[in-house]
Amino acid sequence: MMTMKSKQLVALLAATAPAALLQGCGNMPQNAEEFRKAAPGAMLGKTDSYEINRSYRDVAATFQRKAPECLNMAVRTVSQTSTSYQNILTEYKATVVPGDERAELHLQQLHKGGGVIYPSKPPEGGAYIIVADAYPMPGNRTRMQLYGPSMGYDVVYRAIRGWAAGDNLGCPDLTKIGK
Amino acid sequence: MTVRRVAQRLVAAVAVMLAAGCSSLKPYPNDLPIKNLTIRTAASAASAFSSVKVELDVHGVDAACATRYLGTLQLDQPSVAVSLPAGHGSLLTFRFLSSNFLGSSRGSISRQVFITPRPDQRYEIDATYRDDLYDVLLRERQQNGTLRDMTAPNLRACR
Repeated sequence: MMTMKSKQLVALLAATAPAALLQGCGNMPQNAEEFRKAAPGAMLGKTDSYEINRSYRDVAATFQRKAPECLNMAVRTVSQTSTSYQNILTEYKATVVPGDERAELHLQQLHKGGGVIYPSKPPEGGAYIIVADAYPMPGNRTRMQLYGPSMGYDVVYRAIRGWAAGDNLGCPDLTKIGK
Repeated sequence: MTVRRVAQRLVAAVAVMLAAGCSSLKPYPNDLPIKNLTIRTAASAASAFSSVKVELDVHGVDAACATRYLGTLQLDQPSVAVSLPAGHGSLLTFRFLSSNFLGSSRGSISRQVFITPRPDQRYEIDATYRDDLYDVLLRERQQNGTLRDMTAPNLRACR
């Protein structure tokens, strides 16, 4: 059975490790396109795809409204055991790039403090952690293609799905990342 | 003073603190004659081993957009009637506080809403937290009784 200390450690690792492992040992992806290419083959990386019965234009508009409102923020995580103390400020930055062929939602993450060291220089705004692309489909449908970590970020994936479908416009509680 | 008496006083002090909810937050007076805002709250944790509570910090906002903390309301009832000064800006900070069993892990995330209530107008807010997703929806009640969705602006709307 897991102790409280080991649970805290697992939560902290789950929050930071996928981002680090997604970057691999080479150079960190410096833009969304590099991230799309790197994520599928990275340890703890994944891609996912699904279709939404909603027009591409509406999906893109919802991304433009909700992503900055819900994702542009900083979250402080404090983890303490009898032998260690870690205080990490994590800044999230969302960017939405609308276009005729696809709408892109990029989420970047930058850890500050707590001894988090990046293997190489992260891009401006932080390491790319999730890229979600919306593509128009016939019949007022939209196909979603997501790239990101395979664990720890379920709350963000669920929020993006809710925004795309338009049936849940809630914001993800970013303190739950890694939980 | 005997050890027994010291212990008794300590127990009494702890009891008083517990009775006061151990809270150092100033309660929002909520004492204006007209309650022009109704807040409906629905918050549930994602698992049986965690809990979520919602608090509302109320700040007054002056003409220069400077804020002044007025107090905090515990949104622990499904519906709470709130009085905000009409014609003056108010900054409402909804804080969703989550903790797991025995409080070994805590999180706090907040959403701000800036509102300048119009005189004789009523407003409604739905504050929800479900499956680790939260939302704050602001609506204005129209003369005919219908509700008009309002974008929930933050303090930037003041400037």
